[in-house]
Amino acid sequence: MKSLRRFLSRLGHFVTRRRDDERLREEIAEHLALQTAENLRAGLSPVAAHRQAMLKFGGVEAIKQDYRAQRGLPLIENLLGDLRNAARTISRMPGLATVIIVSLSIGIGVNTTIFSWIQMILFQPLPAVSGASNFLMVEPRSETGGYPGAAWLEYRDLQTRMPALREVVASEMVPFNVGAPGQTERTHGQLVSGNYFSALGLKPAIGRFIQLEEAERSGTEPVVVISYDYWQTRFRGAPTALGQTLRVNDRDLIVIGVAPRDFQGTMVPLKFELWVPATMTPALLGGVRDLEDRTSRAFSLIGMLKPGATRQEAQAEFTTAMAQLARDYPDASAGIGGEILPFWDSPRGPQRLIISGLAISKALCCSCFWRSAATPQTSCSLVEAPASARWPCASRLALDAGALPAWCSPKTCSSLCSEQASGLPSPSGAPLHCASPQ
Amino acid sequence: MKQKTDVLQGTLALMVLKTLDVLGPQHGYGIARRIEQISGDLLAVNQGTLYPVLLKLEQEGAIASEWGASENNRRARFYRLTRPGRKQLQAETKDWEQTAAIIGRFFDAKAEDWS
Repeated sequence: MKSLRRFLSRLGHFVTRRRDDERLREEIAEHLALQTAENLRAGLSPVAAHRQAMLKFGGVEAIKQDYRAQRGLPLIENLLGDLRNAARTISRMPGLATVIIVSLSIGIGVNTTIFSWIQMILFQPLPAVSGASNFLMVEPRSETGGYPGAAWLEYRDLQTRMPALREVVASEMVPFNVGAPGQTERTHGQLVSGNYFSALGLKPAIGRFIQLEEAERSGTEPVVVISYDYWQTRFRGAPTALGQTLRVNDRDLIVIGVAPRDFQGTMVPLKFELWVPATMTPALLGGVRDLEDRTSRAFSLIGMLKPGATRQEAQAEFTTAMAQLARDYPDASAGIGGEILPFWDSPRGPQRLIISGLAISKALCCSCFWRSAATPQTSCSLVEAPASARWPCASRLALDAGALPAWCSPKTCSSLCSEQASGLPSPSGAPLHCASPQ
Repeated sequence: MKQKTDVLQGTLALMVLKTLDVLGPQHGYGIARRIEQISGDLLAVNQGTLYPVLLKLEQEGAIASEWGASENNRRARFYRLTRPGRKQLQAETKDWEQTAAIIGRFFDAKAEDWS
């Protein structure tokens, strides 16, 4: 009860602290005047009387500090004081302050973007797909180090030659012109294999998805699945969207279903609106031979490991299968190997660049900190501070010197630097860690 | 010359309460002078240290204060004991007497009492 009363009183004094300072000043003045008067009555000279009164009273500033520490909320008052100090410093150097603020804004913006990317790539590579991190990219790789994509017929072969993968799905990113001629709208979609939605384990918001048999024979099933957002914006979320016709690349496609709310396709970070059976490729893309030509590597493949299977097993099977295909179809597949990659290591998109950029920025941050730690410059002097002001001063120093090393230890710094020196994280390597105590 | 004694933690507050109990409302200087007089100038206390103690007691509700006129007709803050303060004084006086009595017994004890 006593503590609560004291806290409430401190809170009240925090609000009225200026008035309280004035009160203490007045009380001290009155105290000294009374003591001086008594000293004068005792026969001391005015100067000596005042001096003796001061000596008897003790250090006025130290007492004021004690009084303030007792009175308000010292932590908050110190914080406000630091903020005021910061504002004054900024106002004295507006140019430098502007540069710092702009740098910080850019830094924070870039950091936010990077960490959103990291979150998406590492933890949610396929929004709305549960267990998305179990999916791996199945990437044919040329001798020159490029990733040319897979041909449709190659995909059909790989489906049966990689038993470590439960499912392999294929998709091709294509731009669509949706609408009647003269009123078309540019939209992006994917041409997908028949097992696309079932392998991802998705459930439609309404309607149904593309069936396996609808992506078996060329050009026979003019159906389309639309994204949730597309359904909301173009059909106002009406269930009557099902069965309606969409004019896509001068072909009529029937809307059969709507994808789940957050699903955006399988090519992170791109967002697609339409999904059409891959067998519609020639009809929609002006007779291209993507479905028959093994040199037309237009498809991206992803697969999910069977329970108990490892990425290394899948990699071995993929290598064997690609070697066999190179022997069987030397014109199209000679010199093409393959890699099984996690999404964060995708050769498409900025993933690799971002992860290496992150490593560089962390290494620079550590190096800057340790450089500044080697030549400390602070306006806060612990030795010169009065006893009552030592704690706020020490806490500031502790914040400056303690928090950063705790977050970014020398070991971390060196490990990051060595990772950076060795180049990009290897496909088989572990994801980047900030702290790795051993 | 007599050696001055440091004030034990918390005893200054008790001295303040007792002073206000005996003398009624007093300003800071009056309380300080009274403590000096009663202790026979043996306490090594700067008078200024009284003010944080007064504030603490006021925050706890043991004393209250208001502005008044001092003997030289200047504005001064006068402190007075409150009802909870009086209760606190009684409780602390009892505790203190008990502690002093126990310590006194130790000092009075003779060699045969220790066997």
